[in-house]
Formats: sequence, C-alpha cells, structure tokens
Amino acid sequence: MPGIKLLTVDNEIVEVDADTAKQSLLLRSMLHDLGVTEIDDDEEAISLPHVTAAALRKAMAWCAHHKDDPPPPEDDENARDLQPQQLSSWDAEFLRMDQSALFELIQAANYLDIRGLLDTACKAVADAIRGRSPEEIRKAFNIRCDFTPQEEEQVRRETEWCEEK
Amino acid sequence: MSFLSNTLYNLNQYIRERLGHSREASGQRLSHQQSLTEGTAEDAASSSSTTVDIQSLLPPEILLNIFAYLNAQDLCSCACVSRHFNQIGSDELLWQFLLNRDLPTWSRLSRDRNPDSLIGQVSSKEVYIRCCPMVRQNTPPAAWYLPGGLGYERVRQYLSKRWKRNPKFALLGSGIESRRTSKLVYSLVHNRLGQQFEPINMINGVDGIGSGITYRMTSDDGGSYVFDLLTLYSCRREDARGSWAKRNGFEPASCCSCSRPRAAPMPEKGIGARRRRDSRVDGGTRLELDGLIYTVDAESSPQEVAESQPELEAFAAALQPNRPVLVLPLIGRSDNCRTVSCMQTIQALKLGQLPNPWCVQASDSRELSAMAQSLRHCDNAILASSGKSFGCVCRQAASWSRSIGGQQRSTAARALPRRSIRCRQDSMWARQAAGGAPRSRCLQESSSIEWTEMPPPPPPPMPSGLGVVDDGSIKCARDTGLGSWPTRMCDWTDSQRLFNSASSMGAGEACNASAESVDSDCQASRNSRQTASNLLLITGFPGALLLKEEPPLAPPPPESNSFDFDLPNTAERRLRNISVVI
Repeated sequence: MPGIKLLTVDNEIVEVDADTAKQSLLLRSMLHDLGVTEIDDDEEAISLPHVTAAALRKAMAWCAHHKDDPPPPEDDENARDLQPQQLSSWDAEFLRMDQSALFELIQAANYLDIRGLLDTACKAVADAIRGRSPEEIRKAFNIRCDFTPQEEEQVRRETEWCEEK
Repeated sequence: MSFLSNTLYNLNQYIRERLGHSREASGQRLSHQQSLTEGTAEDAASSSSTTVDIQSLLPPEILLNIFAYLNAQDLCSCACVSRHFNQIGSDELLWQFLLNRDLPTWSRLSRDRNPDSLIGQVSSKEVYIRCCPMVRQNTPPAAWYLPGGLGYERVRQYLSKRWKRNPKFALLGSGIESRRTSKLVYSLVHNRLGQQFEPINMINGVDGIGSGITYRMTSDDGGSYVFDLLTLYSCRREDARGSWAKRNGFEPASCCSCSRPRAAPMPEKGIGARRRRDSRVDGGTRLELDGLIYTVDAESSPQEVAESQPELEAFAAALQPNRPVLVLPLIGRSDNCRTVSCMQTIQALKLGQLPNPWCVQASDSRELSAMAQSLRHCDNAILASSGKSFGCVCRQAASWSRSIGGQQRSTAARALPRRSIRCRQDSMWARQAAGGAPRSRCLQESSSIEWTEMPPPPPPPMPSGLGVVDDGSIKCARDTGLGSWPTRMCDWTDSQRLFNSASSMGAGEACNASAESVDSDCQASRNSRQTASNLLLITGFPGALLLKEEPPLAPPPPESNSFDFDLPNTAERRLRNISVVI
C-alpha cells in the first residue's frame, strides 16, 4: 500500500500508510476530496499545522494497532457508557508517556479527528484527575490557583458537599 | 495537483474552524493565558520540567471532553482548582449530560430536592447539586432550632419525653397490594435479622378501624424512634379482585374457581387495619395521621403508577398540609428489575402539586434500611413542623398560665389555629386547668390514673399549649384516627406496660396475621382481634382516659382493683375486661 507524506509543524516529513491514515477522518476526507488513488513520489507533502512529528508517529502507531476495531457508533450522546470502561492494557501501556507528549497527542488526535484515540487519551487524563483533591490536581497538572481567597472560599462553599461523599 | 490540494486543505480547515472548533481563537486565548501564568508561576514551572500546564496546552473543548468522563464529585474538585477549570467545569451541556445520565439512578428525591420543579429554572449544575441524594448538606435547616440554642436533638428528646403520642403513619398504595412487592409488610413484622423495626405494641382501632402496630425503629447510632403504623388495603371486593386478577394475569371470572380460593375474593372484614378506603376519604373525615407512606410497584410501568395518582391525592388532601408523604417505589426481586425510577414516580404521581412535604425513596420490599432512612427524613419533617410551632406553644403556654381565666385567654385562642390534634388536647387540658369540673375518679394501680369523661362535641377555642401547665403535670392525647370520635387520653407507657405484661399471647399472632397481608385468612385475624380488644383499654372507649403523673389528690381507695366509676355502661364493660387482664 502506498504511503502518503505529511509535513508536520516542526518541518518534518512523515510517510504514513494510507490505510492507517484513513482512520483519521481529516486525512480520509482530504484524500477522498483530492481523489488520490496513487501517490507519486514527487507528490508534495500535505502540511499539518498543530501536529508534531512525534505525536503524529504515536497517533499512527495507535491507528495501526486499532486498524481492525469496529467503527465507533455514530451517535455521540449514547456512545458514552454510564460507567466509563477501563482502558485496555495495551492502551494504558501505550499512553504511558509524560504529560506534554500526552497533551500533544490529544491535540493531534483532535486535529486529525481520530475519535477513538481522542476518547482513549481523554479517559487517561480523566483517570489522573479522578478521586483527587483540588490541591492534588493542581500539583499533578501544574496549575496555578488564580482564585482570590474570597473567590476560593465561595467556590469551595458551593461545592462543599462534594468533598464528603 | 498541489495547488488543488492546498486550496482544498484551506477550505477544509476553514470549514472545520467554522464548525465551532475555533482553534485560532482558543489558541490565542491560551497563549495569552500562558503568558499570564508564565511570569507568575515560574517557580512551579521550574520545579518540575516534565509537567506542563494542562490549561495552556489543551483547548476548552478537549477539557470538556475529559470532564465528561468524571463524576459530579470530581467535577466539583476541578471547579476548586482554578478559574479556568471552574468556568469549563460549570458548562451547562456538561451538567445536562451528567443529569441525564445519573437522574434515573437517584434513589431518593423529595420536595426540597425535586428536579422536576428546578429543571429549566436554574442551571443544570445547580439542579444536580441541589437534588442529588448523595449530596448531604452539612447544616440542618434553621427551623429545627429553637430560640435559646436548643438544638435539634434536644428538641427531639424534649418532645419525645413530653409529648407521648407516637407519630402515626399509614402504609398503603398499590405497592403493598401488588404480588411482586407485597412482601414489604411481611418484612416489617418479621424483621428478625436487622432488627431495624421491632413491633412492640398493637393499636386497636374501633371495630378494626384505626388499628395498627407500634414499631420501634432503631438507628445505627443507637437512637430509637417509636411510631404507629396503620396498614391500609383497599378491600372493596370488586377492587381487590380486579386488581389481583390484573396483576396476576387472570380474568376476574376465573378467580372464583381458582385453586387458591383464599386469594381471590377479598374478605370484607379482615384484621382491623383493613377498611374501605374510599368511603373513608370521601366522607370528609379528616385522617388524623402524621404522615403517609405510599407504596407503588416499581416493577410495573409509569402508566400503571400514574393510575394511583388520584388515590394518593385524595389521601394527601386528608392530611394536614405540613405532614409528610413518603413514597416508596418498591421492587421485589433485584435492582435490575426496577422499571420506574424515582423521577418517573414523581412525574406519574404529580408529586410536585402536593402541598405536603414529600420524599421518594427507592427501596426493596425485602429489606428495610432504605425505608428506615426515609422515615427518619419524615420524622424530621414532622419535627420541623411541630418544633417550629413548639416555640410559640411554649410562649403561649407561659403567658396563658399567668393569666388563666383572664382576658388574654380568649385573645390567644383566636390567634391560634384550631385544626390540629394539639389544639384539641390543649383545649381539653385547658378546661381541666381552668377549673371546669370533670367527673373524675381514681384508679389506684402502680400509678394513679384519672378517668375523665369528655363530651363528644368539638371543644371551644382555647389557647394552645403542649400539655405543660403550671402544676407541672403532663397530659397527652392519643388520637382515635377518626375525626368524629372524642379524644381519649391515657398514659401510654402505662397502657403499654399493661399490654406488654399480658400481650405475649395475643399480639404476636395479630402481627403475624396482619403481615400475611392481602390474602390472610379471616379466622386468625378475628381471633386476634378479640384477644386484642380485651387487651387494650383505648378500644372504642367513648370517653377520655386522662393520666396525671403525680400522686392523686384524693386518698387511694383501699381495694385497688375495684371499679366504682360513674361511667357509661359500655365503657364500664370494657374496663372490666381490662381488670381481667390486670
């Protein structure tokens, strides 16, 4: 299967398998719109702003692994289960990376419109938030508390019940 | 080709941006934020090189996507993290999604936490936080507190000590008549394992009307709560047969010849708790109940539950408007078979229109912990109403006792409502204190009992008081449950002692019989009713039994078991029955 060339934001040309790339709805519609059936060697690379080479390679690796997955259901509202499922062990291992890389991957998945990867990665981030106190969340994600003391007190009071379960 | 590809790409990007992703805008905002935070959060950034600011890297729509995987509690933690998180974590659509997802699973809703009345009025987040049963507000309502720093517990202790009448609830509804969920009544009486509900006494009504069982409910923290429970079944023959057949898939005609003749035709008179509901309510009598426990079958459909709505409405109308209604959507098998959620129950029964405080508690007919919890909720509602007026009662009683017989009495009387039980007992009591000479005799037993015959017509308006007068003696009234009957008074602990000493043979069977619910046989109930009518002194006694806790003024008669009162014949006969028991 021919590969297609993608120019990432850091000026690197990444050649990816066309079938794998078609899991990205963005790339699929582009290829479809262009009517590309064969890719010549002298074909100009498609430029992808917002996507780094590392994230693109990661995303394509995920797509390659999940190539045979059933397509996600169309209906967004009902697609999300009552209880979010656990990540598969492969996904959990795959997503074991530092936060900046993970966020770049999420952005790439969002831009390339790879629904499955985006949801999986978001789930991983949600798992990191779940069950933590505000202070722990700030620490984990390096967020600075920009509330004034009065505001913080007010927000804390509004959500006080949530702290006791 | 390359030109075309670039054009198409630009178009594609343009469309995507127009479709609400607004990548550029968010990017600008984020870079702005980043520049804001960079200057001030240098120490945080330098301390850990691997962690990066999630806010600056991820656009809002992705944060929203992440938040959608969290539950409400985590979202509230997120709201405390920073302004940006707070803003995104309060997103209306996000909370709508949570509400849609979680609302069917909530197991308790009440009038104060009624999503039906709030949705559309306030934001979804507020609806969620105000209604979610997992949310426990830390502070109890201020109404429970009296001036002078009396806390809720102290009021409760005081009331239970001084006001000896037990709260009286009626248990009724399609839930206890449905085959699937009728086990609730059985669980109540035969609750041997958890000991949450212990039947300690039996209340005999008048010819079976108004009878029931007194339960002691023990809570986890060791407190106990004593209440009367009347179980009401619809016993009109055609109703019962029709509903029985409908719920069991039989035609009415086949019931008469079916193999279980006991089950099909409902006895016209069963154990005392049964009665004609409709005639009762339609007759305009006020049900003197402190609360209603209305059961519905949560394994049926919302449409079937909605059929019970007129009945509940009629009963609730017969209640005083501040008395609580507890609705139990019951299941009989496992949690999975619940087909009617709390929210659907609220809508089907139109609970939003009830003037009473209400509470819906999803519960299992086989175990009672949920019911125990919600009964405590009801108790709070009763206390909130009685506790609120309690302060005014105390003040009134104090001012009134200073000027008995004076002008103040009538003015105070006009100012107070006359509807409640309390007023009735008060007025009776006020007459007593004001020196109206009741015919009284003393019966000397272990304590002194003073019998007073009260005239049946409703008493004249009198100032309110809880039964505390200047001489310190305590009086209390037990209500018959029938508006037209005169109030009887007795010291309940004494009659209970009487009962306990002699009831081991009668009450147990009576309880069993009533627990057999719909198709219990008549014979056992008739027997137990006879036994019980011999036992309990308040049965149908058309006078008043009034007790003073202090020694009698008159010297005790030499023979303690003699009855020399001046009482109507019927009453005397019944009293002789008591003497047998003693």
